[in-house]
Amino acid sequence: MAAEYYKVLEELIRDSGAEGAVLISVDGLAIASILPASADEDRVAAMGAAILSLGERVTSELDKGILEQLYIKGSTGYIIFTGIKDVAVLGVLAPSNAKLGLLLMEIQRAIKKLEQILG
Amino acid sequence: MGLKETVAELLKKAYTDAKVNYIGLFIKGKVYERRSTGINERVEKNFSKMIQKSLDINIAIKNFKAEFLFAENKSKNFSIFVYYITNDIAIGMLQIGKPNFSLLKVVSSDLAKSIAPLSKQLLEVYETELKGKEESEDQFLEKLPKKDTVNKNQNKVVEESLDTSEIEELEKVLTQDVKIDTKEEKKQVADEIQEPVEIKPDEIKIPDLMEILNSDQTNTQQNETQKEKSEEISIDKQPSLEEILKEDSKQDIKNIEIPISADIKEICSNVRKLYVKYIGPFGNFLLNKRKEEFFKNNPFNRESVLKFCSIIAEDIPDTKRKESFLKEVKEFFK
Repeated sequence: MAAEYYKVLEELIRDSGAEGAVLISVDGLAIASILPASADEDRVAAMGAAILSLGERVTSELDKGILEQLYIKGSTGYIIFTGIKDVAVLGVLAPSNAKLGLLLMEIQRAIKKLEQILG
Repeated sequence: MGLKETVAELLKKAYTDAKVNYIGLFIKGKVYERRSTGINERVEKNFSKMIQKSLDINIAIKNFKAEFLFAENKSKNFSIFVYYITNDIAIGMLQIGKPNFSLLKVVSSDLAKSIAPLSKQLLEVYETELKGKEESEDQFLEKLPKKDTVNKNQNKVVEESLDTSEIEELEKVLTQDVKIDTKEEKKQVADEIQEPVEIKPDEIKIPDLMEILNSDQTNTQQNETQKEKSEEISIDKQPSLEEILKEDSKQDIKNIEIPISADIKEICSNVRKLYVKYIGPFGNFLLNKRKEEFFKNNPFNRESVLKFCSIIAEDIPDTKRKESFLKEVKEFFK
């Protein structure tokens, strides 16, 4: 199972030009990750799950449905968090010169694959 | 103009420029000043927590230096925008309606330029006001007496506030409506209420299946008898079949002049046919059985055959049909 997750993450990084990707459980633990040395896997996982969950809570309290995606822009790049159903979160680390359109499209493709694996 | 007023003015301008529903200045995830419409306290609390958590990104990823956070819902009619002025200070915006990312970014970057020079003061305020407020809130919660002690204290206060005379009066009023006055009665009532009703297994009488069936039978019999009574045909009053047959046979035998030429065998075959007509195909078997039993000890003649007919007539359940069978049988003997 873990090999399948790694395969999806590898394909995503290769095709989109991302620096790294992490699959996070809803409780904030990394299921599988391919991250650069500069990123703390545990912290990224915990923070990603937490802020997406809180963002979703804000959205639902305002009766605005589901929060689709959340991204943070830094001076060195982006980190994009996307929810996979209610079971996981996908975090993708991309450089600041990354083509966002292509990146978002590849993220959606990876999410579909992960949804199938996660069931 | 003080710091709070300055920040409030800046937020007011940004609020109108960006046309957002909520704008707030957050120091280490705590709201310092805000301006909003239609955003409740709970939403703000979750939003501030979200901003607080997002500040960790600078620790999670080295040299990340977060600039802004953006999120929108699937329907694209709600967006969250956070602009980081420093690692600790951020502007948070909530917009209900079509997201306008560019406008939010421009407005917040302008606001950030105005607030950035105040960052030192704002951090001081956090240390003196917000952090202290946070600690005092926690301490207040810790210092809160437990539920039991609160109730005890409340009871004490109530007791102290009432005079003994007042208590007596209150007791009088309360007991006025109660009709149970004597101690014995009170005890009785209390016992009745408290004592559970014990039912011993021996006392529980479960009727036997046979009893039920028998009772049903008796009931149906009773009903039948009532029915018959209503039809003014009382079975009790009617003579029994044997009596009828005996009487009839005596009378008939006396009255009916049996022709000498009458063939007994022919009579017998006619009786058989008639009997089968009344009883059904089973009549053949029944007639043979009765014949064997009867003619073991009786001679085969007209009188005995007539007697035999009255015996087999007993097997016809309906009395009226029984009578009509016997009448028809008599015809054979004529």
